[in-house]
Amino acid sequence: MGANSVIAGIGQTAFGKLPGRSTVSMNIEACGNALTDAGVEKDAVDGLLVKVPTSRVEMMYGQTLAEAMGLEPRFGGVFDQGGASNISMIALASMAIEAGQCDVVLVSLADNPKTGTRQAYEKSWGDAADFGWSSVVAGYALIARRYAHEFPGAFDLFREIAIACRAHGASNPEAQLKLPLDAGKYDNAAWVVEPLRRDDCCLISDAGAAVVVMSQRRARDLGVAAPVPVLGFGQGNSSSDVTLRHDLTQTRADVSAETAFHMAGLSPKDMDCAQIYDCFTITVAMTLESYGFGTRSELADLARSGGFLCDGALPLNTSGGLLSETGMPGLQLVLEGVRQMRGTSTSQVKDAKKCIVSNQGGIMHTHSTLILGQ
Amino acid sequence: MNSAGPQTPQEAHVAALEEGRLTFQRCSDCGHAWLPARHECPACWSTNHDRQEASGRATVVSWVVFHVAFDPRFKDRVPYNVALVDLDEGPRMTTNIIEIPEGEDIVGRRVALCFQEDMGRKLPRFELT
Ligand SMILES: [Zn+2]
Repeated sequence: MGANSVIAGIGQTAFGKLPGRSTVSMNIEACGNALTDAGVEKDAVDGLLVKVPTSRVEMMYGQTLAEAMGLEPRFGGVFDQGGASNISMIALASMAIEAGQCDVVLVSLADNPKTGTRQAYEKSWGDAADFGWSSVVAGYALIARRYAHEFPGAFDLFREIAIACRAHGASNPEAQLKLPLDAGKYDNAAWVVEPLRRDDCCLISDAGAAVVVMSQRRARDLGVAAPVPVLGFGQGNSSSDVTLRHDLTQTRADVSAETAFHMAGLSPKDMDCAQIYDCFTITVAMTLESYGFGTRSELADLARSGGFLCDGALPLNTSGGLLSETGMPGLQLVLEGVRQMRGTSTSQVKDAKKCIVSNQGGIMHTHSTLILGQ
Repeated sequence: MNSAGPQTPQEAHVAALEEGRLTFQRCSDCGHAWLPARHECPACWSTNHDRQEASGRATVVSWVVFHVAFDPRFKDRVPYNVALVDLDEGPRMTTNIIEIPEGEDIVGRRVALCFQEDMGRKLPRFELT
């Protein structure tokens, strides 16, 4: 069971406002840091997978980046599933390595909506624009409203998710937002698109992150200091526009997790912590339910008892997630999963041996899951 | 309208709205009904369809209230709502509810079509019944 691959190194840029930095420049910094962390030379890299930047979509971006890095990868290009791309690219890298297509793959993500344009997140949507239908947050708000109709405890759960992520961000010196949140501040914050308030929504960030993927054997041969095994991965895509999705409160996250758990030979109870894509609090609530960590009311009970904090039963987003560490779409969650498995998190979970990571994209159009171990 | 070629499904949909008719497509082969306008039936990929007029009766699936105007045309209109409704014939559409009583959860409520002149066109909005 499981993959034969490891995450050999992780790297990132600063998170926040990085004026004057192109996405290519941020990708190169993150990749350089990941190679340094792995103790691997650039010349060993023969695969490069990168998520297309949301702020400025360019054709052939993967080749533009490779050129700037002085690489001619055997295996490389862009993968476009929005925020689910990161884990999907790690999975693709693992499968490509297994199939003999390449040996050492950089998986990278960078974007600059903070200093560049937020247009991708605020645009109007096609024929419905004349009704005022616009933005990504409104799509998630539609889901959240329906969820709250079905489950009256929804806002208690959303609040506790935000508070836990912000607590962990406050302990992370690298986090963009180190301001803890309490119930009063959450409840009194302004609506953005009702029923979502300011603190239900992720940060907007300039940022880059990268990981190095290789086989366990290659990591041994290269003397990689702290390789973290990839135990399982999966994906599942709802694909339909949120306004057309048959059941607004169900996605294919369940299929994604089922595939990953089956591959790893593990189940939710084996997980010591969870890094769950938190573009909005509703996303975390639905993902944990789909993954089998409990019903909606069980999750709300867990949240109220402090279960999402780093000494709780299900430590959540221990570096602060998109709500607090950086709004970058998702790869930072994998980096935190790696740190938890190495025992180097700023909110380290005691004796953590297994970690599940979720990524998703669009307005819950896409979903991918990664299970890391020791 | 494109006079050079045949009318696209979307053009036919918009033309009907301008006449004050809310229409949708129904597959001639499998009977599936849908919005928005498409060339192929999403259920069976058939290109044969009829354009039918909606009864105007629908049910609210979900709704939101914008407190920020991402689209500058709406900066003097916040707060305003956008809703999803399921037409009784099956297709789902995005719209506005003409008035939502303060503090009320309207998910599952029945609504009726009511065209309003706005944004330089006839907009198919709905009101609670
Ligand atoms: Zn059909």
